[in-house]
This record gives sequence, C-alpha cells and structure tokens, in this order.
Amino acid sequence: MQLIVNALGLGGVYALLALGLAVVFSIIGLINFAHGELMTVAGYALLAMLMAGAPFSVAVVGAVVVAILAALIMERVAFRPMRGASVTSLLLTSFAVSKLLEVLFQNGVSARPQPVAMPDWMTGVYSVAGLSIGSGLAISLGTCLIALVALQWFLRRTVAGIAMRAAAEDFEVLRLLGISANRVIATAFALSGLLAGLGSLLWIAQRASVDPLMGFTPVLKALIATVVGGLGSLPGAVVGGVVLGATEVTLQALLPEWLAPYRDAFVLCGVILILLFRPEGLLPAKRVRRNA
Amino acid sequence: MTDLLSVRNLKVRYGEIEVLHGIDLYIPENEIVALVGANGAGKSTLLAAVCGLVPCAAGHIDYAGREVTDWRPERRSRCGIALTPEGRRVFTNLTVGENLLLGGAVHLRDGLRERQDELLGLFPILRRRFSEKAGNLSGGEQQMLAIARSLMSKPKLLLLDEPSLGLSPQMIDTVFDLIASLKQQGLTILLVEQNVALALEIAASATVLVNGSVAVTGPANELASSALVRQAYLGA
Repeated sequence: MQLIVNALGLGGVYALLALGLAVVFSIIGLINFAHGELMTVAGYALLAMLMAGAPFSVAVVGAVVVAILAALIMERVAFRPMRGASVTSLLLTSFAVSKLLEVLFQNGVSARPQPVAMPDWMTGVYSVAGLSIGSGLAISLGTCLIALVALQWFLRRTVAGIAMRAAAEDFEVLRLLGISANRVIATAFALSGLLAGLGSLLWIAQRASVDPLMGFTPVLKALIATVVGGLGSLPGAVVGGVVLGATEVTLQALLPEWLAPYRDAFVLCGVILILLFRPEGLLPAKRVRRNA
Repeated sequence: MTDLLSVRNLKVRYGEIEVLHGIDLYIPENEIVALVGANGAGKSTLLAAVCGLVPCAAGHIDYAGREVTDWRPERRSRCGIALTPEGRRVFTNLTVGENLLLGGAVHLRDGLRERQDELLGLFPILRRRFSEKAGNLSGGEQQMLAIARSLMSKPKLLLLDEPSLGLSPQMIDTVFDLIASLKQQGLTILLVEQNVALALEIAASATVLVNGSVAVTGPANELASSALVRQAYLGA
C-alpha cells in the first residue's frame, strides 16, 4: 500500500510533465526539450517572489503564471518562426532555447542550488489508515488528480479543448473550419506551461531547492514516459508517467542494496522491452495527417 | 449574373514543380460548377488554393468582390468559403456532435444550437448517432457528417471534393439530391467529381482540367454531348 502511494506520487509528477510534452507534440510535432527550462523558470520565479517577501500562496500562483507566460513567449519568439519546419529543425530549436535559458540561469543567478524555504505544513508527515503520508506527497497526489480531471474537463467540454483534440488529428481541416491555428498552438503552449509550472512546484516541494539544471532529469523521464505511452497521445502520457514512476519507486524499494545504483538501467531495459513489443507505445496516438 | 468566385491565371507550385499552369475559373452566384479531370490533373490542388491551404505562385483569387489571394484559410472560412475535403477527414476521435460544433464554432456565436438542429433535420442519421465517435460511422455516414460540418458555418461557397467516392449507389443518390437542394437554398457550389456523368447532370457548367491546365470549359449539357468529354470520361 505504502509503495502504491509513493509510486503514484512520483508517477503523478511524471504524468503532468509528460502531458505537457504530449499536448505540444500532438499538435505541432515538436518535442520540446526546453520544457525542463519552463520548470526552472517557475522554480526561480517562486524563489524570487518568496525572497521579495510575497506570501507563499501568492508565490505559488505567481510561479505557475510565470511558467505559462514563459511558454507563450517561447512559442512566439522561437517556435512560431519555425512553423512547418522539419521535426529535426524544431528539435534543434528547442535544444537551443533550452541551452540558452540554462546558461542564462547559470550566469545570471548562480550555478549552485538555492534553498527554497517550504512552509512547515508542507514537510509534516501524517498517518492515515496505517500509511505514513508526507503532506508533500499528499499535495502532490491531490494536485495531479485535480490537474488531470480539470484537463479532461477542458478537453471534453470547452470549444478550445475540443479544437485541440481535433488539431492533434487533422490540423488542416481545423483551419478550414475557421479556427485559428495560432490560437490553438498558443493554447497548447499555455497548457504545457501550466503543467510544467505545477510539476516544478511539486518537484521543488520534495527537494526544497532550485538550480539551473533542475528541469533536466524530470523532463527526460517525462520524455521517456511519453514514448512509452505513445508519442502524442494524452492518455498515453499519463499511463507512461505513472508506469515509469511506479517502476522506479518499486525497484528502489525491492532491489537489493548492491543493485540499487543500477535502478535506472533496469527501468530503461523495461522501456526497451515495452517498445520491442509495442513500438507505437502503450496507447498510441491516432493521427490521420498533419500539416500546420 | 455576378461571379461569387473568380480565379484568374492561377499558378501553384510544389517546390520546383508547377502543378497548375494559369487556371481561369469563374463561378456565378447560386450555381453549381463541376470540375472534372483525370487523377493528378490538379483538381484537389485547385480547391486547396481556393481555400488557402496552398499558396499561389501567381495569379489572383477574388471572392465576393474582394481579392483573397493572400488570405489565410481561417479568414477565408470566416468569410463564407467552406471545403468538404476528399476522403471526408472527419475528426474520428471526436463525437458527431463535437465535429458539428467545431464546424460553426467561430462563425455562429448564438445560433449554434439552432443551426445544429437544422442540419440534424437534414441528416437524420447524424441525429441518431450524435454522441458516437465519428470514427465508428460508416463511410456514407462520415460523408454526411463531413458535408454537415462544412454547412454548420452557413457558407456562401461550398467546395465539394469527391463526395461520391466510396459510397453505395443509393447513398450517392442521397448525396446528390442534397447537393441539388442546397443550391435551391442559395448556395454556390464547386463540385469535383469522379462520376462525370452525374456531375454534368447536376451542374450548370463544367471545367475540364488536363495536366494542370483548363482543357475546355462550357455549359454542362454541351460538354456532356461533346466528343472529347464523352470519349475521355463517359466511356462512350
């Protein structure tokens, strides 16, 4: 039981990040390596606001808003001029954006991790029905659940959400129906920024520090999760994230000590196995044709 | 009678290769014009150029008295140009209702529900399958949905690309009856159709494309009896 709760905690964060990647990929075919930098941006925004004396709640909301804005600016400045370019060019662009922001943080702020003071209630541990649940973990689980339900509602019940699902399938036809390509893409980026911001806060909550490279590892994991789940498929991203997180936590707990350092190797072997048998991922995306 | 759409000396290139070499096409208001020709003659490319999906290398497209040559597809759609694409291309992951909703989402702020009811009256089969995923519909039903989706926006000009493709003879009759009744309601239609005999029956005039150029254009009944067309397309 304890294991399941922990697994869902980590898996949930991966799922949020993987969703952010998948939302953008499903629409414009871009694997956004700068997604991790959105996390970093959110982290430093949180730190800056806390240092400026803002209340914790304001800083949290502010950090997410900054991540959304950063994602929108990224789209407008870096990716819109590359619209319709090949997958490789888009990939390289996102690497460039990623490195640029990374270096900016390293030189502009500091290469060393900066501590972030978390309020006491976030670090407490509670005992619920015989399970010990850190409040950080509980918040993490709660946030992931709410985010997933809200995202589902958005994609099913609002015109913008339905248009995004349609865009993933056939962007050209959507434009023929008069729905603005720019607006759909901007919405996708805003959504990915929101998810990166949330993911970043949950990540920080468990580490209590920010550093210029903080986004790299989780987003790399999220990328693996999207591939396992089926690149560009939103349900796939969630499943991939949870599966990956669960596997990591389980291995961490079950592997004998002398094997524990090789945990990631075991996880990646598992990924290879899945892809051998299901090269399209667990829940592949349906795509008719795409041309933005 | 004025032309709703006029295409003058239109050239389209895919990379280095020119696929349309100076097309002229005029579509009078409230008429059906048929566009026929062999596979690869450039019919679908011409439709794509009219609705803005492919850029024009040269020439002009005027619609409702305004030059739209450089407009984006979204803007053309908002001004009343709608395309029912070849192969239907409904959003298979979305329900029938969601497909229809997107068809009129930016055009009708308030009248969405009324328009939807109107079209569901016209296509009773879609009402029955309203909450089902479009991917589960049969080919004919998907064609109905694709046409209904383009009509949601109350367009003035409807571009229909191969509406009979893959349909049963019975379904083809239904679709062509519908096209005739749409004209009665004041719509202007450009019809691309493999079934040339059927197209010439319903259209007022027709244009034949051969290798990216207009080979012949004229009243449909004259073309139907011309030796060239009969030989090439009517198998007589």
